[in-house]
Amino acid sequence: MPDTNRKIMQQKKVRQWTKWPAVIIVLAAIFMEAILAFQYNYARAQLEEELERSTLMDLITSALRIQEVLSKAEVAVSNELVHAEKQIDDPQYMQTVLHSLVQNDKDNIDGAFLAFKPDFYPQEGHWFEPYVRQKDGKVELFQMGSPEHDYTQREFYRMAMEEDVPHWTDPYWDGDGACNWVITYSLPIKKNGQPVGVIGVDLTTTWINDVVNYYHPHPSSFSIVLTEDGKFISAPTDSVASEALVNHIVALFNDSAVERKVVGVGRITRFKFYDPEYNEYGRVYYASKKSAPHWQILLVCYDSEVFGELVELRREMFLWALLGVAILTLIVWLFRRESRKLQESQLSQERIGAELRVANEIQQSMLPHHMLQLDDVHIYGRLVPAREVGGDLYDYFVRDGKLFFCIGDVSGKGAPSAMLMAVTHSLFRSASAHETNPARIMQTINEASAEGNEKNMFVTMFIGVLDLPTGHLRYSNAGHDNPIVISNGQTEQTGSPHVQHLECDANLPVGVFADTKYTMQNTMIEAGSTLFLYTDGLTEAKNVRRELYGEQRVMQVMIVCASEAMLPKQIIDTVSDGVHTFVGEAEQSDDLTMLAIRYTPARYKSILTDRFTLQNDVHEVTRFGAFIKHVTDQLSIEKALAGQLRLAIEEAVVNVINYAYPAGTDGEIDVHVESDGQTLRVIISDSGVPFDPTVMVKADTTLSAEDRQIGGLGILLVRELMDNINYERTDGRNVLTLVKALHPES
Amino acid sequence: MKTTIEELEGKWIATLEGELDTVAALDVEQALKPLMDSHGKDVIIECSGLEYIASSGLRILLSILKAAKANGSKVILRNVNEDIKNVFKLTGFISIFDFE
Repeated sequence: MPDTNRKIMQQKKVRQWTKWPAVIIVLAAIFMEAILAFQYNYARAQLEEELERSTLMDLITSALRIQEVLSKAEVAVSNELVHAEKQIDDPQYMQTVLHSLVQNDKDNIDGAFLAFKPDFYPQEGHWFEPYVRQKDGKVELFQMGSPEHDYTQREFYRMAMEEDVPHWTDPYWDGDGACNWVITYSLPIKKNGQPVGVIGVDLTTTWINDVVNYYHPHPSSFSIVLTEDGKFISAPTDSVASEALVNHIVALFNDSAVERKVVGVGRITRFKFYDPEYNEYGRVYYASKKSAPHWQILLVCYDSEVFGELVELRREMFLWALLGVAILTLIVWLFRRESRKLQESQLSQERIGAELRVANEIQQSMLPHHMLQLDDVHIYGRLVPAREVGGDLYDYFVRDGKLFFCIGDVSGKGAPSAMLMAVTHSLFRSASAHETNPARIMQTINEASAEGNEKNMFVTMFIGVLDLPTGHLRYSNAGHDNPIVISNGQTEQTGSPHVQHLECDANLPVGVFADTKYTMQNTMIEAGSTLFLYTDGLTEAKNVRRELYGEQRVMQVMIVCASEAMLPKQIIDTVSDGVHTFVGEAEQSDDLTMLAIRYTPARYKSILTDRFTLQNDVHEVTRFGAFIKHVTDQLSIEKALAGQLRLAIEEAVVNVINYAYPAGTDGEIDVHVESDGQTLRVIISDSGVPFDPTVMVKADTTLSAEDRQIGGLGILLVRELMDNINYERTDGRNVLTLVKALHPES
Repeated sequence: MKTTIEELEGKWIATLEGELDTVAALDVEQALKPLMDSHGKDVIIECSGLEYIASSGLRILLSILKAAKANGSKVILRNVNEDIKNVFKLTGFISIFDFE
């Protein structure tokens, strides 16, 4: 079944698809993280570049500012040098330049001095080092030279005198003079081109820190200034950076093993450090002053300050990404749930479909076999439900020489109609077990259906009882489509078989009102005729243009079937083909049911016939018994069988004697016997009240002695001993026919 | 149809000979009337000569059986031939009577 395979494939696809989500989520998360990482690295590189640029600016600015101060001092000294050299011979006057120096630049210049070769001025003594200093707003003059303070050994003196270059010293503690850390700038004083002394100034170093740490882009950054040799010149205050940290950084700076990198277009060098106090990583950028002194200015930055925002951003982005992944997971989970729901509903639909298919099989098995071929009747039926189960029904069975058949249509279609169909079907069977009047059968079914019929479902139904020996059809129609009769006779005009609808009273459908009265109608069916029954699924079949197949088309097809003397199966096939061609692609809108019954009574070729008439008196039985014996002798029927026949016939006749005529009245009972050599037929007829022994209830043979009823044995014996029993009321006479096969197959 | 009954050794013995059809049943019913009240005595019906039995006859036997059972006595059918046994089978009487 390709349908089932397709459904299995669809199920597989759905299952596979639900595995993917986990993969999707993981891939999406990885992808997002990759993008974030890439972005982060790029931003970080950008920030680093930015930092290097700003650091470079910072360092350059610091250097310039330092140089500004130093230059100011240098220029002042140079200027006073000119004056000093002019007054070279007047040491006292020369000292005035020192006052100028100190006063001109009060902020930075702490003290100014002159220092001459020993004994250059004999009048001044061996040592001549006048020193002018500011203290508490007052300018003081000292003579610094003394054996304890041998300035000739000092760096500021020696460098200027011997090297003949302006010189800045490294910071040193000037206990004698400034009582502070100072740097000294000295220039040689020349007389006749020869250095004879030194002029210089002392600068404190405190201003250096203020200058270099005046402003940094990052609040926690600070600068340290070191000499060319890596010794302290200035360090930030404790509030900015702890002494331990500063020492640590300077130690790293001086440690050649520390990894460095040249950045900032080759002008600054960088190394990294770790601050244990704050548990932070940082970096140090440094560069040297271009002009002398070539101090090294270090700029210390903390990574968290530089990249802190980026890290924060990254964290935030990560959280957003996580949220995104969470939403994706939610979507996927919802999708999975929906698809699982879909799967489940598919499965339950399939289960329902499977159950309906089983129900259909059960329904089909409840129908009689689609074909029945007996000596005297040939039946073919077909029921095609619109859905898996249908609300149409047909049924037929033979009892006591009569064919009971029905066709019905439950309102609606599908499972609910199918269930009502099943109920109606069993009602038909039970009602026809002891009733041969189709109107009364219909009534029984109606009363039972109308009761408790909450859904107001109803059934249109046609019931027929065809007496097979005579062709007498009794029928009752409850709102159903009138069957069509193809009679064997030929019309005068066309010479082809007569096709017409059976004339039916319009009774209400079954199940509407419990007290509906149904009418019974009669007709004779000629040998060779066919009855065609159908439901409105045939006449109301629709094509894609919503046109109905219609009664006319059905009639036309019937006429064709009649003219070709088709058998029941052929008729049904022909009608089916016709309606299927008409419907084409459109969906079947209603259950389609057809039943064709062909009546072919066999002519009885008797080789022996005999008659006997008796009065309705039990005592006649003896005489009657002799008659039967005579007949069985003539037919050479063996003793046991003859005894059975005698018993059955006696019981039947006794029944008639007892019930046919009212008590006390006389009546005749006619017994006609015939045989074709294969069977023996006994026809017992009388003109008494209508009395149908076939509807009498048989005795229950399973009861115990105490429970056994006295009655019912007669009819039981007749049924058991004879092969066929048939009752018809014809022309005001009861006609009971009994048939027994004389040579039964063992 | 010949019907005889006699008491022997504390039991009723009834003999049926011939054809017990609907007509004969009228007389047989009368003849076997004493058996309807057996006073606790078992009833033995000799059927070796019985060639035919109709439903009326079966009814008589059933009545005798019901009466006997009410008294706690048995009804035994003797030497029933095959054809009649078949009738008993068809009517279910085969399981309510005792056969010898």
